[in-house]
Amino acid sequence: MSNVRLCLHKLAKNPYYIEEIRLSIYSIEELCFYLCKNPELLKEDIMDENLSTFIETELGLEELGKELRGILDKRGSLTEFVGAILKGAFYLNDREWNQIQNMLGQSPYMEYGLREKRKGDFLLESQKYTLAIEQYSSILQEAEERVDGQLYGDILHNMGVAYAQTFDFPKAEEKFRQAYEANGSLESLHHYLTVLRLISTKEEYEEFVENNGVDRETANFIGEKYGKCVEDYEKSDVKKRLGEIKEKKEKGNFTEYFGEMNELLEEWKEQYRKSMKKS
Amino acid sequence: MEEYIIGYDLDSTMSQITWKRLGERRDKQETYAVPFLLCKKYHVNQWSFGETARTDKIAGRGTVPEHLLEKALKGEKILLEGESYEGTELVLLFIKKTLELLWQKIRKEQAVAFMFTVERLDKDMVKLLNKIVFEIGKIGKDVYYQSHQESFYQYVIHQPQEIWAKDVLALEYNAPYLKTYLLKLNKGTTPIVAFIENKEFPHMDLSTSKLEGWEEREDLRFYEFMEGMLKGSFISSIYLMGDGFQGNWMKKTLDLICHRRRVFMGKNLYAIGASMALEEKLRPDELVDKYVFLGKDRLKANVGMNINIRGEESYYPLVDGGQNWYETKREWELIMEEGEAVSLTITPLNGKEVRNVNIILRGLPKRPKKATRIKMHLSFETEQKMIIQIEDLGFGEMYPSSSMRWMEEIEI
Repeated sequence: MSNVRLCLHKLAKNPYYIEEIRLSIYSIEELCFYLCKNPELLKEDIMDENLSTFIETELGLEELGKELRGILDKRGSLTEFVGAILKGAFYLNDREWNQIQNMLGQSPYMEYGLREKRKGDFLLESQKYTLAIEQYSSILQEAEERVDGQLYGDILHNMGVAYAQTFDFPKAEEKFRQAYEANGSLESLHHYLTVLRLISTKEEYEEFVENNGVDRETANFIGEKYGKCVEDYEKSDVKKRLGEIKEKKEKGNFTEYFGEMNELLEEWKEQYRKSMKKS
Repeated sequence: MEEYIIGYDLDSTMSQITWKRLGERRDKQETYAVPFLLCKKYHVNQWSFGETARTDKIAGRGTVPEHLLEKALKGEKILLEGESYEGTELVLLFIKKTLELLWQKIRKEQAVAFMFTVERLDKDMVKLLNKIVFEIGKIGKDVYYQSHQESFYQYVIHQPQEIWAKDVLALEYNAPYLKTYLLKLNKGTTPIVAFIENKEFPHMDLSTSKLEGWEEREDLRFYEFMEGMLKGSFISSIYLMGDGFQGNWMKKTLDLICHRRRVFMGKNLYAIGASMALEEKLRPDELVDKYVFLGKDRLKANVGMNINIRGEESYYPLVDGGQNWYETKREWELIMEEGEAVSLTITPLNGKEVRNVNIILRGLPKRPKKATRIKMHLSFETEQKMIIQIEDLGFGEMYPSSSMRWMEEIEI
């Protein structure tokens, strides 16, 4: 059984932009992945002449582009349109397509908060943290009363994750605490305590655990997890690379030291900028 | 404009250039031979080459770097008159000067293809030739490389068929000693597989002393050698190449080897073989489908993988056996459906066991199924050593690339 698929089609020079989730699509595989990721969120506005043109001209899939235009001309259904793309790209087998088909077009029937949270989750997974935070915040601002306790807590939890990824640990701590208060989830508690451990000294953390009645098992679990992270970091490629750079400084190879340090910092800055982008 | 193909035999003693009009009869090529010598004239930055270099050295007008090609292959520097020169640069200088002679006969724009042929196409030689080609620039469609063995095969296969009705033997008798190439054709396969057995005979060293009676002694020595060589063999033709066969000393030996065989002096055989190979690349004839040469430089196995293509699982060939290792470079983009391993299948051409090789992409970021795009680059360092380089490309804006790379060396 193979586990790889050959990419046969080119990447687009000019991507197709999906406004709702602020996502640019560059390949047929990315488009298919997006369609299958949250099929219940898809609406008729995906049935767009521009998408057909994009598939035909940018991705070089002429036959598929024409087929989609045909579906649009005869006012075909969402299922037909999405099905044509997924089958045209040979993306799914029959069983997988049946599963997706059943979920298509469920968006109007979905609970508002859940639908909007899924969009935020997509942004979070795509490492677009600023946009994810905005999306989650807008749900809570616009419809706080429409969102039940569990869902409310889960949204706060994911906000905490997004803030943690942007190194805003105080904000992450606040959101995880609020999440735990709302949903009582063990995972939210663990995340809360983990961030607390990150921003506190060992003594401060132990004092908090003592004063707030955190059970010893949970506290130890977090402590061990933290220790494991430190261990993993010590063995990581990043640590090794930093060590090599430091060695250059110690040996007096300042040109190489500064060169490599700048290169590493630029890489990190670039990653951070991408995650903080608002489009 | 008339088009020409050019074969260049780069040899450490005598280099040869052959050129021929494309499509012209094979016996219509022109050749010139240049001793592989460079001479730096004393106290000036002037160089002579070939016969002039030899004359200048004898006359005491300059100094000649010894073992130039060998040193260039090792990346060594050469000291002449207290100044250090890169071996590669000197080889390049020699080649440029010999090519200048050629461009006096034909225009560079008329050359449609060019081939270097060398004794051994290993990693160091390919590296050296790549540097040279980079400096001299493209000639015609492309500059190709080929070993002497393959040039010999190409030469023979384009002779009348009775020449290669059975095995064909080439004897190369140069310093320091005799080498042989025995071309065999396995007519039991389709296509017919040709291969060469090459051997070296250090005890058959080229005798440089020409004391009285040396011709008789050499003739007898060679006669005994050839008796052993030909015993039990099925050889239809023999080619004699090299300085060792100069002169008329072969009397008894010739009687032996000419008995029921064709024997030829092969002066420019490799350079001509190179140009014949070029002609076949540009204008393939019926031999291309019927015969395949499995020389040392050729890949001895097929490499492929099981892959999802348009929704169906199929065997996808990455590389076919029989190709030259140094010309084989490929690249693909793949989507990981799941897991973090890429599996290759290696099928030896000699019927030995098929084996699978897994390349584990350790540390590949955890992403959902079908959300990782990788670039896989395949190349070879020798005919047996395959290099696979894989790069994580991420998945568009959804999952940025980690920039992680993996490299695996695989013996095929």
